[in-house]
Amino acid sequence: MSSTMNSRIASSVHAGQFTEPMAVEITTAESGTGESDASGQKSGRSMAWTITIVFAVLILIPSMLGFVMKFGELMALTDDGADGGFAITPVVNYLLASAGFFFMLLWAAANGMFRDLEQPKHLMLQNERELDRNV
Amino acid sequence: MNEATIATPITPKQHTELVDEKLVRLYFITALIFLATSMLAGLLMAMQLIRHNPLRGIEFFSPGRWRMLHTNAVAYGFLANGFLGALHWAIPRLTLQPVLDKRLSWLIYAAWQGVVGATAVGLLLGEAQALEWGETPVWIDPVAQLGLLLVAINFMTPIARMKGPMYVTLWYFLAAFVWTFLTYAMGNFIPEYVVGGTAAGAVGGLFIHDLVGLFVTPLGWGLMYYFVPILLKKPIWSHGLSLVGFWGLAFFYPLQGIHHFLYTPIPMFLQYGAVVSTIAVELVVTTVVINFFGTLWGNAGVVKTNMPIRWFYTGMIYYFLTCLQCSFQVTLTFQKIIHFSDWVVGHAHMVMFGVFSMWIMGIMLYLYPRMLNRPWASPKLLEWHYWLSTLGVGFMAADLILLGVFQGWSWAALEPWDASTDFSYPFWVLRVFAGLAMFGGLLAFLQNIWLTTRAAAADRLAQKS
Ligand code: HEM
Repeated sequence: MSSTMNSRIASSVHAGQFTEPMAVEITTAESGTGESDASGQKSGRSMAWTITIVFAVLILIPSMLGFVMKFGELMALTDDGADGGFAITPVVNYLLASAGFFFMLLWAAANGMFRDLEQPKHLMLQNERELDRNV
Repeated sequence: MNEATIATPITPKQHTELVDEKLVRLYFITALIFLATSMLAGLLMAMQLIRHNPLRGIEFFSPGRWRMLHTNAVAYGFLANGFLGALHWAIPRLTLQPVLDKRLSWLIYAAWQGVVGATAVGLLLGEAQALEWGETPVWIDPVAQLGLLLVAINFMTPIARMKGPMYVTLWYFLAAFVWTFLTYAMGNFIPEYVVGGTAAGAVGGLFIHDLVGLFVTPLGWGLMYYFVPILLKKPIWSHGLSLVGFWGLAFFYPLQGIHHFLYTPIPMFLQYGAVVSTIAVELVVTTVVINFFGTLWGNAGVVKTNMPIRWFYTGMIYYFLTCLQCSFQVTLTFQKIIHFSDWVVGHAHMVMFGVFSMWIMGIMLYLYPRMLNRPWASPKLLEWHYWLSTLGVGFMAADLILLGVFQGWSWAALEPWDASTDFSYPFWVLRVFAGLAMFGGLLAFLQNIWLTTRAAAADRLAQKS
């Protein structure tokens, strides 16, 4: 594992889990990030963004259009007298639940929860080892 | 990893400050007592179906009531108690924070047993609410709802106090607390007081399935993401992939419930929506299963020697099978044949026992001796427990799934109803034997617990003297 990762784990052990943050020593012995690596990473990242946007446009826009159309049909059905209400109940339930999760997803992304996707799994095991050592 | 770069925490938390082991143990024992009761009720119902009900003619023991007791005791008595025990271990250790209040934890324990006990009595007295898996008499519903709220507050507080990116288990737990509360409210109150007719049917469908998918599944998977890496002593293969699984479940699952009501008056686009989202969830499930097998990769031999891991991975294989089965059975073509048949009952046992009960058993197997500071008294009984349960449920599921296909064909061919009950008879007899095997497995486990607890008490006595 890279030293950057190590330092991130170490700092989040403190910042994330314990009340008082502590200075963390960062070792750079194994880092070796040259300029070419940096530019390689940059182009890799922009490639990933391009793919994400293309997929978003290809998949999200048609599916959202489809959804809106179907939802329109559903609304028309619910206007249809006393029986109409039954159709909309499960959909409204679903939309309410999903809206909550959509906002939670946005909140999590905005708070950096997905910045280093693999870090929590190392931290979890590290905490377990600490706890077992302190029994 | 270079250990020197990982600094030691300044105020390391003690396990004893965080986890109330006595409560965890009590939850486990209570869960097993409810499982034994539920299995006996299941056996009674199974005997009724082969026309050998030993308690015929006693209203209190009428099989219809014991069937409800069977499903309710399993869901709220066994699974809920088993999960609550495991959560009292996992959440404080994952967050390094105790639960909000340990006295509240004990209050919840007592109140929850009151709810389950009152449900059992209510059902046996014939006071059931007309909602499958929510037959809990209506007067208990508000108490259960309050209990779920307290559970959420007690466990969500330590999670909220944590800072920084969360491990996938905590995502699942957070969602489960919110979902369970909402699902319970939706199923128990909306059809009772707000909507009626087909709308109530649609909400009922959402309720049954969401109980499996939004209460049992996130807690089950969350616990697996916690215990598997600890037991294998290596991190989950891909944390990123595990998050895909979580968010996939969050967005695709809630629309699935309607798939219990295909070919009903519920509008077809809702039925199609349920079919599509069910198939989408199967893809999500595949990512989860790949992740766990990726973690095991290179260590497969552990399955032979490490009992909890063996239970966990057996559960995962059953999970994959049930989900695969589900993506076929959700299609309208399959539904035409298998709807209302014993296929569904086979599927229910494969998922509820073959998967989630197996995981809870694995967790108990790991934690119980650890809390007593003593290995299991009888490794032989452990093997009996595992093999009787695994083969028992496998046999029961295969038997009923096959029977379901025969029943469906018979009904489709417009044969008289009696013909289908006649040829079902031998399959139902086999179900009794499979059930007896599962019950035998449980008895082996209970005996092992008894022997181990007694030996631990003797150890403590010897240490004192
Ligand atoms: C001794 C073992 C067991 C026996 C003999 C047994 C038997 C039965 C029977 C006879 C039914 C009613 C089927 C019908 O109405 O046609 C049933 C339903 C059910 N059982 Fe069990 N059972 C056993 C264990 C379990 C366990 C351990 C679980 C869960 C962990 C479970 C979960 C269920 C569920 C969810 C249903 C409802 C299925 C549906 O409505 O489709 N059973 N069981």
